[in-house]
Amino acid sequence: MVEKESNASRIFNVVNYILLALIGIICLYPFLYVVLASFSNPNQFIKHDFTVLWKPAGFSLEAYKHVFTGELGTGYLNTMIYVIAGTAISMFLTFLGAYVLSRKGYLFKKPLTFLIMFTMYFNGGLIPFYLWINQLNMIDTRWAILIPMALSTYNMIVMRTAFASVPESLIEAAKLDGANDFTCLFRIIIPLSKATVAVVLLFYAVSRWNEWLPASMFLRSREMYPLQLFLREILLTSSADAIVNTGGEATNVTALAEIIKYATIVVSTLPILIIYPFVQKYFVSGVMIGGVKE
Amino acid sequence: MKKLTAFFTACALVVMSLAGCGGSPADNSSSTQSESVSESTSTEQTAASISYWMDPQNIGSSQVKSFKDHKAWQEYEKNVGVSIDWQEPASGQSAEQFNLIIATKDMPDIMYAYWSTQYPGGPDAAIADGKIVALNDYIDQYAPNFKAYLDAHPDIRQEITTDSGNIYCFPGVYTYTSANSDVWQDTITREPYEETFMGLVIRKDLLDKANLDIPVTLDDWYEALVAFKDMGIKYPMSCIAMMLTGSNAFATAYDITLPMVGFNAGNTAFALNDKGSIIYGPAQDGYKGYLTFMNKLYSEGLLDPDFMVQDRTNVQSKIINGEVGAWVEMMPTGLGALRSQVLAEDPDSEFYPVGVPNPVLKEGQQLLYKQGNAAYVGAGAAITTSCKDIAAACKVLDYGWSEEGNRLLNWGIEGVSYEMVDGWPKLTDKMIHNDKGISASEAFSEYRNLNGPYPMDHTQRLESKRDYTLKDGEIDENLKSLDLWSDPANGLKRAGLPSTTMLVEEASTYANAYNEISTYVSEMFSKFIMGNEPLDKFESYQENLKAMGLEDVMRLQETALDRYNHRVQ
Amino acid sequence: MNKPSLTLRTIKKDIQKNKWIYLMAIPVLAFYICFSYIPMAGIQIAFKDFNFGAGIWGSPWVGLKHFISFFKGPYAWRIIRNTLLLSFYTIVVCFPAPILFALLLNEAKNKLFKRTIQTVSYLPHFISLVVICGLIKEFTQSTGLVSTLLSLFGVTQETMLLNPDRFRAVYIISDLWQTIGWNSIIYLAALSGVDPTLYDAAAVDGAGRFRRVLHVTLPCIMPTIIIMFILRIGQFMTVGYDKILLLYNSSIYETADVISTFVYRKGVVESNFSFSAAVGVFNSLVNFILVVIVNKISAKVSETSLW
Repeated sequence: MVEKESNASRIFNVVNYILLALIGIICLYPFLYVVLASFSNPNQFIKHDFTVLWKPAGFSLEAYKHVFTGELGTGYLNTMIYVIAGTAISMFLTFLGAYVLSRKGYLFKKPLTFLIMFTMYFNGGLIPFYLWINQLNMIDTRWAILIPMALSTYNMIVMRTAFASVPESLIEAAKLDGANDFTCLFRIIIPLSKATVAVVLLFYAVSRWNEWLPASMFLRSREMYPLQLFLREILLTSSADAIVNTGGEATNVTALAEIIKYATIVVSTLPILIIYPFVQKYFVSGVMIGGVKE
Repeated sequence: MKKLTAFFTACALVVMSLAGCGGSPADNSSSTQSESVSESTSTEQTAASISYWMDPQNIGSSQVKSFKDHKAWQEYEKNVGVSIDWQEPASGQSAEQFNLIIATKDMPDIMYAYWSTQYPGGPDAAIADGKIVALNDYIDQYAPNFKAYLDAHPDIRQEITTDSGNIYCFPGVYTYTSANSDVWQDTITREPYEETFMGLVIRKDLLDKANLDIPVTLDDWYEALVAFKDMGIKYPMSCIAMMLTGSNAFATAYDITLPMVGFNAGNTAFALNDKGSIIYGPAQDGYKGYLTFMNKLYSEGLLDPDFMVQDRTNVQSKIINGEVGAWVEMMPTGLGALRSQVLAEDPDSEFYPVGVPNPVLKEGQQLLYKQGNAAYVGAGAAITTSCKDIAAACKVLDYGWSEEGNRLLNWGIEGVSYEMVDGWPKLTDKMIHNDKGISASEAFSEYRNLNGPYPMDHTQRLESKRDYTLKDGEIDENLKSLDLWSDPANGLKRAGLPSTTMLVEEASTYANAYNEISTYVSEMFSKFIMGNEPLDKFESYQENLKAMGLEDVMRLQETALDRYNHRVQ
Repeated sequence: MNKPSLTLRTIKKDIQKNKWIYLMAIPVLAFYICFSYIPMAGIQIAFKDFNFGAGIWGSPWVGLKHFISFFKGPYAWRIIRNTLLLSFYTIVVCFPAPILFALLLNEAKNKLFKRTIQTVSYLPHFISLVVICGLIKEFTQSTGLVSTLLSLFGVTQETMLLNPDRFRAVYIISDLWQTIGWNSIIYLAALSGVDPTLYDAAAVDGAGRFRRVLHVTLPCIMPTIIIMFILRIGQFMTVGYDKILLLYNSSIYETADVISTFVYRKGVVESNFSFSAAVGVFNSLVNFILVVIVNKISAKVSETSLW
């Protein structure tokens, strides 16, 4: 059963592992840097000057003390709401849309597909969008974050591609047993497209987690701000605008403020990183089956 | 057919239900007052309520991020007797949100913004478009304190009056007790003040080592920087481009001002010359002299080669590592903090930076221009046409111009955050030695507001910038630098123009030409200095500016200035 | 008289037959109508002089004024050229890389190793752009890590972001770094759908590893690759300003100034919404035309298409 590896194959394996490890290290570095910086002693960190950080410059938990006394709790809670509720809404709509687009043989398929694709390229711009959301009375409510950008056409296409690859015969068989399209979707297609469903779920959840723009447009009450908006405020305190608009006063560009930035990033990124492996197992284990078996 | 209609009805239903979902407030847990607010304005029994839109960055505090939580504003609201419904954009996003809100018909009652630059066509257009209210009559009726102030300070009235005679906002004004007064002055007496907060800094300890005095002329500076280089200082002069140009360091010697690189909005490249007409710094002949000097510094390795790319932390890092001899600094981050960071690492270090005036070309030369914030920065609180109770809105804003309300915003609560000592307000001991272990200015920032639509007291800024860790006899170099930079000896006029406005029809012609010119200027700025473009090309550079429409730009600025000068006094 | 009733009957029949599909399409359609098509009326401001007082519908028509003013500017050619080149190079480098990465990952057998590398590779996606760009700037300064390393290979040690010839390389390589892991996820998912029996069959036929990848794996994930490629081409003109704003400075405008950054700077002087809308419409149009072309070619050649 076990196939004998050729020399070439063995050499390839070694090169492959080294290459992948290298990519891994390069990709790890920015995050490592942020983590190390966040534990650094502010004064020593600011002195490190272009050299690579291998360990924290000095050690201090000062930054974390500041981070946890801030408004981060509110941010977490809100982000949780937006991620969970938002992803649920998005997934449901995406399932429906992807299913409709993946089926064949109904009359309005072409115009419907085109109608949906068209929105990827043309939009009315920010102001008309805002005016419309305002007319819907959604401004400064959580709905403005959850609903207007719930569907990503991109993700829907990704999901459609997976749905379309499910053999038509399975659906036909189910339909003969009296199943309707709705049950087909949830009983047959989704279970068979687990890997892509996991990916799209991840895409939605992560983009919800990282999202700040809708909140910055639509919200005016800090009680509803997501985490990323607070993070952004911290990151931008030393921007040119902030400096000039406040006559230099807002820029508390002390060494500590610099460290606080990094600590905030760590705190705001960790949760989603922890969730990831649970999603990952759906598509990496699939790869295991698909790959060369032992 | 029935099914088709059913299909479309269903579509419509879904759309409507989606639309309707906004009607019910977001959630019940976070009790937003805003819902009750808009309804209650009409009812008699409940106190009036006003929605107030302002970027919380204006608090200027690392401790308090929302007006709702700020001690001075809480007290303010109580004293006015009108409840304030704060509408807060995320810091740094306020300009974007302003554009969106202003497009709707549901604006907050009061909006604090840079009306003259942010609204296309300026405040007159905003009034003509039915966005904000002309305040002329309401001020007489509902804002006695503000009226009294304008009567006492016609120059401020001119700044906030549009070309067609409308008063459009309660402005934010920097004020300062006049230099010849022995006691602190009250709100209405304090004069509008233009603060210079950026300038050159040089290490005194290195100068001493090289047996040099504080450099006065450009030649002295060159000599000092060469001496630093010979001492082994890696970057004799370091800075970031924005602060180098923003401070106009070295440029004012040639009687020109510079555009702030990396910050398009501030028109510091324009200035009024001694004849009262407008100059554009980068088009003047003197600009060549400036570029030649900077090119000399750059090519001889005296200027940090990374000045175009680095950010402030990079520069600070170099300074703390002792690699920099001179730089451009901005208060209040300042000198004391840097020195204490150096001393924390090396207690024996002689590191001693001092602020110095901008250099001159020849000794005895009176500098014409200096960096500075305008007294009226351009930001003001306007009352929108959405406001149903203008009297209440005026009442809210007017309180900041009364002695009581003004002290509250500038100094917080007497006996808690400040106390009067020999006629001057001073931070209390509770602020200086606070139990939170934070700096005095941070503790104080929970009680005082930084920017807003009222006369802002410069004394407060100085007091909160004061270095309270100094021992007796030590000089507060931060405050000393601010004095030096703001002194008329460092320049008579502020770089920049008064708050003129373009007409709507002029605005896009201007923006088209100006954006191209400013792209070209900032590109050539670095090319000339870094030697990628030889300086003998300067004349053809000037020609190109003309070809790009500099004359149109200047003409539009001149006519705007003309209209400004003819505003009703 | 007969014809319309016939069509109507066909429609009726079709709807009857596919009623569940149409029912399921309703919420999706409603979403697009509500949040894409109704606001789309705003496109008209590109052909108007938008002002806040008159609003979208009331502002006066000006035809192509804003398009003309965009194309007439002395920098129009430069920013269009820079946008196109930057986008082109980015696609050439950053599109195939995640596919390759996914294939390599697929070939690695150690489960733990594979999972670790994969998890680690998408980390840059989570770090705020402000911080990422801060790091890029530090690394590429004259004394920075990348400049120092490159100098070992005979490249002049200099601040790379001051040299117009280096900007594109810095931009694209850092883009690769930011996106390689995250963008590979989709291909990994596609790889997991490859039927293992196909490999066995290929092995029985005596196909080596390389040939198995070429003849089994790649064809299986080809539809995904093609769809991703068409989608990517649809963003050809979309070179965002945020990253460039954080990286560039005026000394490298020559290569770094793109349409979006130029429009951004103009917006700071004067917020002219009609002008930005006009530029947006121009970009959308180019994107759309490109997608239609690529989609057509793909439908002919590979039978995979967006619509």
